[in-house]
Amino acid sequence: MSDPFLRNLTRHWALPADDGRPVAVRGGQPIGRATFHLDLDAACRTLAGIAPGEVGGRASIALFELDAYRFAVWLLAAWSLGLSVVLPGDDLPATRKALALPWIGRGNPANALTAWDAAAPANDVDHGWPSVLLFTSGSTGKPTLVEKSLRQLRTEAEMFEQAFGGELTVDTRFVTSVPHQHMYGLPFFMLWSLTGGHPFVVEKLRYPEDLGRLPPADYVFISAPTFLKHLADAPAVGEGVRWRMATSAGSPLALDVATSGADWLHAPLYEIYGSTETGAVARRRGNTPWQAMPGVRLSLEEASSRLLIHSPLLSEAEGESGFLSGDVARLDERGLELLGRADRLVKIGEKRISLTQIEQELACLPEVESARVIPLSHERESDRLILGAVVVLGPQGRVRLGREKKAHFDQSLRNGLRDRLDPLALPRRWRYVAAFPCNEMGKITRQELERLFVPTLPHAERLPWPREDGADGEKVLLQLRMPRDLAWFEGHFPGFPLLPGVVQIDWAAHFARLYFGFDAMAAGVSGLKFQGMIRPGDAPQLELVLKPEGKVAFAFILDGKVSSHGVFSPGGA
Amino acid sequence: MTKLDELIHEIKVFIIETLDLEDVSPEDIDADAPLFGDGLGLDSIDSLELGVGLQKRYGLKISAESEETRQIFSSTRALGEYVAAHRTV
Repeated sequence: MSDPFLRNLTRHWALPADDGRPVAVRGGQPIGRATFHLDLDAACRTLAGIAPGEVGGRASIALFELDAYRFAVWLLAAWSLGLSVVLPGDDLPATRKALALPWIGRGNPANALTAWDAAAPANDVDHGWPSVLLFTSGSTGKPTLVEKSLRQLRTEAEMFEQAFGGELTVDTRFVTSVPHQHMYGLPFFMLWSLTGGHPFVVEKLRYPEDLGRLPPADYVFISAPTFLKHLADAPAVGEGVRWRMATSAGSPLALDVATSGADWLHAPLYEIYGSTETGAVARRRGNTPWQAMPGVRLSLEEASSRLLIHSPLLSEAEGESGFLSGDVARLDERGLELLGRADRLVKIGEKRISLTQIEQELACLPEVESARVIPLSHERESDRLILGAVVVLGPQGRVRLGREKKAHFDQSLRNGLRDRLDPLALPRRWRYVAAFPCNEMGKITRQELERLFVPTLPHAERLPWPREDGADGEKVLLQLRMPRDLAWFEGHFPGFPLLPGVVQIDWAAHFARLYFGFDAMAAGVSGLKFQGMIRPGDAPQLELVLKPEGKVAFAFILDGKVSSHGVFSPGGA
Repeated sequence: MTKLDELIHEIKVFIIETLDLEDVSPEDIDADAPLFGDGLGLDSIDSLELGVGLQKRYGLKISAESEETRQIFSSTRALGEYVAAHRTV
């Protein structure tokens, strides 16, 4: 460990082993610098005895260690040996197999050794090497590899010290509720504390109750909205616990959470804007305009108003041209305002309209629980873009929709938005659903939402959600999921809701048309039999079978028993 | 039904078809309610499309932005009266 850059990377490493300052705190007990130095040497010896794998021509290992202290030791040891470290998102067998690298950390038999084992350090380390390779699961759900050089990581930690260093002292402890191995926790919690020589708390805060168990000290809290919104339920912290500051990232921090969080902490709460690719870009408190991080230069791409980021944290390749983000923004002397994702902005009549904003405004209406808004390409000659809203109603909205004509209800929601939105932004098509349609992964996708507006699906909100359990040219089996408050159950019968037989026929006809192109409008139905009842919450199957002479037999099956059946015959025969 | 009532009904159907209003029937449109703002809540692009449509259908010339246009579009009834008086087709 002769390399000065690496030694200077962490003050805990560079400073004498016996100055009494802890590197970390585990179970309230300090882990001293002497122990840390011994552990580092031991980990180096272990790693030197392992034949590394290779990623992009670099000698690499995979590190998955949920214990923050052991993670820090392994990481620094690997770097000092000139190894690149791949940080997988999980330790599933498939991930291990796909990586084909020596696996360090939890689950590795080598890790069962209480001592970190044998060997020798390397020289001539190149600080531009990809020191960390992270797998992120992007919006596509497919993992992508992001490389960070040691220089980038150190620059980021220095940036934090410059931006926030005034808030803390060297004895301020770091505590977190986010994973230390991901691209928010890694720089903010792990590297900032190591670089700055601040002790870090090994145990993660998982529940608000954990806050009550912190030993007396000054703290920086690296957190996220999911945790911060529960601060109101948190117990009072012990005497002598003092918050210096907190950060939030990962998802947008609601203003009331930002305000109540800062009140609870009695300390500044900074929301961080950034991404895995760019590192930290800007910070703000409350809903004030975002301020660029030190050394970060922001501008707008002229054509799209998308934010263009120049930052010392970018790779050398991106450093020149800057990183073009997917966020549309406004910049003035007060700072940065983010207007929304470029793919969530549409232009109607030369006006830029934020779909996210419409959704937020809709959710503020008393009738609405939540809403999704998507652009629908208009099928008519005028070719204007119109917006479709898919709405989950609250109790008040459901009662009103049951009483009023849909057109009037649609219009009243449009009127409710009129004060806050441009008339062009008012959705034209409305669909009311019990829950947003999801794909198999449980994700609400644009495609599933669009299906609700397909003209061949009239009154789609009155149909169940189908899952295909089997389909060939002659037979289809669908698993139907019925929302509890499906429109058809209302008033049929009061206190004892049943799915009306006529609706069952209508559903069968609808899917017969979808799968077999069967024109049920011109069809007759025969052999009808209703043997069982379908009630809210039931999950019936629908079986459709194409018969000779173009007939289609249908059956609703509940718990393995046929509950109703019939046959459609073309031309009403 | 008077001649004007018939024309108003025809115009309601015309508006629904031109603007492709979903789930709206002529009965849903109040003849005295404004087309823009609180009533049907139409927007500036609709105004343009209706103007173009009225020209084709009734041979009317309506400019997109004028006090007169605002008057004509103030309700379906006002539009009906204007069409009755000025139609050339």
